[in-house]
Amino acid sequence: MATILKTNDLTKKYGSKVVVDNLNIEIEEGEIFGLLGPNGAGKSTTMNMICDLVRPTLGNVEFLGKDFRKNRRELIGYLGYIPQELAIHGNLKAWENVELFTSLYGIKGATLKERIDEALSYVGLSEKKNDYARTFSGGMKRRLNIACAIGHHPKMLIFDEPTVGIDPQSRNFILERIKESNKNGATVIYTSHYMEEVEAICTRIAIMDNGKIIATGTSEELKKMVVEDTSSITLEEVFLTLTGKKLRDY
Amino acid sequence: MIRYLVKNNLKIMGRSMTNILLFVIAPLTVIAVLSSAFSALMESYQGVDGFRVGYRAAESGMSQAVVSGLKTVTSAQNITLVEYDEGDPKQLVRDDDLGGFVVLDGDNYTVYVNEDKGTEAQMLTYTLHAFFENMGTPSGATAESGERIQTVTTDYMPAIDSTDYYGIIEINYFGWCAVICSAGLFISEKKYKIGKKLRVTRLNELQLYLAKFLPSVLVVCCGVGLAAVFCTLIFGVHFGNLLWTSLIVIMSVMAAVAFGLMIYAFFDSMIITVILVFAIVWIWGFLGGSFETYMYSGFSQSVQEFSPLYHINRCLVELSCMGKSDYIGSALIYSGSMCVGCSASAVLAGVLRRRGRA
Repeated sequence: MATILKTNDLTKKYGSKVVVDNLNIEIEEGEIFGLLGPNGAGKSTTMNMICDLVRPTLGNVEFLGKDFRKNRRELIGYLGYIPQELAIHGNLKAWENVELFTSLYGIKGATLKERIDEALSYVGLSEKKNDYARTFSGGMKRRLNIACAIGHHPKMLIFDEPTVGIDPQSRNFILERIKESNKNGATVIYTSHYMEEVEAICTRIAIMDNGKIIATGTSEELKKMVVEDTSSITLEEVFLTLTGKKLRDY
Repeated sequence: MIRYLVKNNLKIMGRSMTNILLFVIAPLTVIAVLSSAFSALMESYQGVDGFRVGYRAAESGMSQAVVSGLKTVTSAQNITLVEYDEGDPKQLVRDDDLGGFVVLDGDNYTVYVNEDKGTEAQMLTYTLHAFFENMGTPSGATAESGERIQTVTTDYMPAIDSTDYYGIIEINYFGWCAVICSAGLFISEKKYKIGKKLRVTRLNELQLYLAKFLPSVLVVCCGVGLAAVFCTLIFGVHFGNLLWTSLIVIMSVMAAVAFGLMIYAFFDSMIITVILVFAIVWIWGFLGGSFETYMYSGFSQSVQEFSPLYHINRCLVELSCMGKSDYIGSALIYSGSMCVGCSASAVLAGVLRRRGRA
């Protein structure tokens, strides 16, 4: 498979503090790539550099074979970013929120209307399209947040902890949708602190600590790094073994 | 590309009850209070029943026929001419509580006026000017000033009542609080990190700015327009030349929105923006006649002219009572310059902030 995203010696320093240190990752087309790490490991900064929200101190991001920063206007439309925060307007109806964000990628008119219906249907909110977002439950807002990022049919979806603070049903629904998006051809980068989620949906996982990737592989491969009998260990135990049990107070 | 963003931002602003309260209800309330409170003061501006003016014709001066003609004209304006053969005109104006003093000498006349009687001074100079213009002689007025006596050269503005004055002024003043209109949007964007998500799109800083500027201008103009209609219906406020008035109000709102967005772009905090904008607009309003009328202001003309509100207020008031104003140009230039300058600064601040964050 072709590489869709590649980071070349990606580094971010704030003063003398190195937050991301010479990061080299390659994500293949069609993957669901899980990025794990304790708080302060550099996951968010990496995500922000991939989305061009933060400028790298050194290195670059290649997306679809091109330098992302240099070809931003062309490439940004292939990216769908679902932030951890519920980035929706409470005083807009569900369909208006989707319209707002989808239109920013140059989609308009009848196509835009189709995409709005499609995105809302995809996250199970068609019935609620005329309701104000402020009246939604936490799970519904999370789903609407996703609908706002998929309307322009991106090739790559970046999920930053999309299941924080929601009930198991909503979480299950979102995970199923992510898998379906992947089956439909979207490559996914997924960060979460819920190990079982990552284990359930990610085809490859990278564990990050102190700004560096310390392990990469499938769930099974990561477990084998720690013990021979992988049935006796969970991904969380692997994570704790590799990153240590010391509290990270950042 | 920003059409849908502008449309949805417009919906967010239009659905806010605060905007209706601030731009429609609040001006109506303040107009009712201020026009009532200052009605007596405003009446004093127009309430000159008649007054005395001293005069002296030099021996080599005009003929009795001219003096007699002047007396007839001035008496029609309720101005009584009283002859003084001796005495210093300045002293006589003070001691005899005269509205002014005229010395007629050859081809010239000199007017002494009492600065405590501005309306009388304007009436006297206007009447003398009109009389001698029609006669073809003498050649003009010679200015003379003293500690308490000066020649008044300002245009004579017809009276305006307090309802008209405050009706116009307060609607304009509340229009300058336009930044409140976008406060809900800014707070929502910041709280839910929507700005971050907007930056993962093809939008540039100018488009992001316009997506806020355009709906804000539309919402504030609609609010101000509604307030003006209600003012006309409820209080009977006269707005004068509607075309010029509308143009100036729209330009004023554009300048106000740009100013508010610039302050927000500088500080990235709604609380600081509201405090700063309200404080600065209050000072401009204080200098520019939004509370105390600019006709009675204790500030010098140059200090008053520092305030954009002075140019806009004076222009709108003069359009209402005179149908024309010398301040149309300065009001439009001031508003237009602010609009362009503040917009450019806001976009530049946005670009620098984005680079700084990166």
